[in-house]
Amino acid sequence: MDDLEQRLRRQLQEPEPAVPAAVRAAVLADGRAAATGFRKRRRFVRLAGASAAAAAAALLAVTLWLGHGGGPDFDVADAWRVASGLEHDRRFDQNGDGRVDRADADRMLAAIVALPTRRGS
Amino acid sequence: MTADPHHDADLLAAFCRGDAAAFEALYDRHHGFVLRVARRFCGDDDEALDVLQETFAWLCRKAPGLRLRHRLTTLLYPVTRHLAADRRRKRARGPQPAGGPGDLEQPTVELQVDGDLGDWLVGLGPLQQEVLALRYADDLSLEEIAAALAVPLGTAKSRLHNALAQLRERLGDS
Repeated sequence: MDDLEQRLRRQLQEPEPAVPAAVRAAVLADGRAAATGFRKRRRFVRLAGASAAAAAAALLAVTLWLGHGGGPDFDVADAWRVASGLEHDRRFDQNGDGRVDRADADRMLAAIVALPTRRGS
Repeated sequence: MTADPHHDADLLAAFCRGDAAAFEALYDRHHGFVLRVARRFCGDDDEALDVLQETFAWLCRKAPGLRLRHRLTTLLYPVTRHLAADRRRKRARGPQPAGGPGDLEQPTVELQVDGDLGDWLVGLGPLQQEVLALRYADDLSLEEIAAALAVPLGTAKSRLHNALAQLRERLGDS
C-alpha cells in the first residue's frame, strides 16, 4: 500500500457511527419476530413430514390388516398401534437414512403387494 | 448446531433456524457499515437511520433465500445504496415512478473526509468515489467490491486503478 492509499484510509475511515438505543431495539424486535416466524415454519414443515409418514404408516397398517382378512389375530387397533409406532422404530428404516418416512413406507408397501395374501393362497 | 460467530453464513443459517441471537450478532457486526453507506448516499443522518431499519427489515424478509459467498456486507451494500439513493431522489425531486429514469442514474456520493484529500475526491466521478469508499473507508477486498457492485472482478480492479490514477494526476497537478 503506497502513501496515497494510506492517506485515503486515514482520511476516509470514520469512527463507528452511533445508533440511538430505540432504533437498535426496533431492529432487533424485527429480528426476533422474524426468528419466531422461521421457527414456526420449521415446526410446520417437520409436522407436515411427520404427518405424511404417519399417513403412509397408517396405510401400510391397514393393508396389513386387510392382508390378514381383518380377522381377530390382527384387528384395526393393532393396525393403529403399528402406525403410531412405525416412526419411532428403526427396524422400519428401510433405506437406512436414519429416519422412518414416506420412502420407507413405499418400500414396505411394495414388498407387501408382492406377497401372496392368506386369502388368495 | 452452534453458529460459528466468525462466519456471516453460519450466523445467517442460525437466524433462519429461528435463532434471534444470531440476528443480533449480524446486526452488531454490520450496522456501522450500513449506516455509513446510508449516510453516504442519502446525505441525511435521520434518514440514514430509517434506511438502517429498512435494510435490516429487508434482511428479515429475505434471509431464508439468501446464499452468502462473501461477507454479508456484499449483500447489504446494494440494498442500502438503493434505499438511501431513493430517499435522496424523493427529497430532491419528489417521488419517481418505479423503474423510471431516476433508477438508472448513478447516485450521488457524499464522502466523509477528514483531511486534505476532501477537495480532490469531490472532483472525481461518483463511480470513482464509490469504489474508493468501499476500498478505503469500508475496507472491502476487491472480490467483495466486485460482489457488492455486481460487476466482474476485472471491472472492480480497473475502476479502483482509474480512481487512484485520476487522484494522483490531480494531486500531481496541484
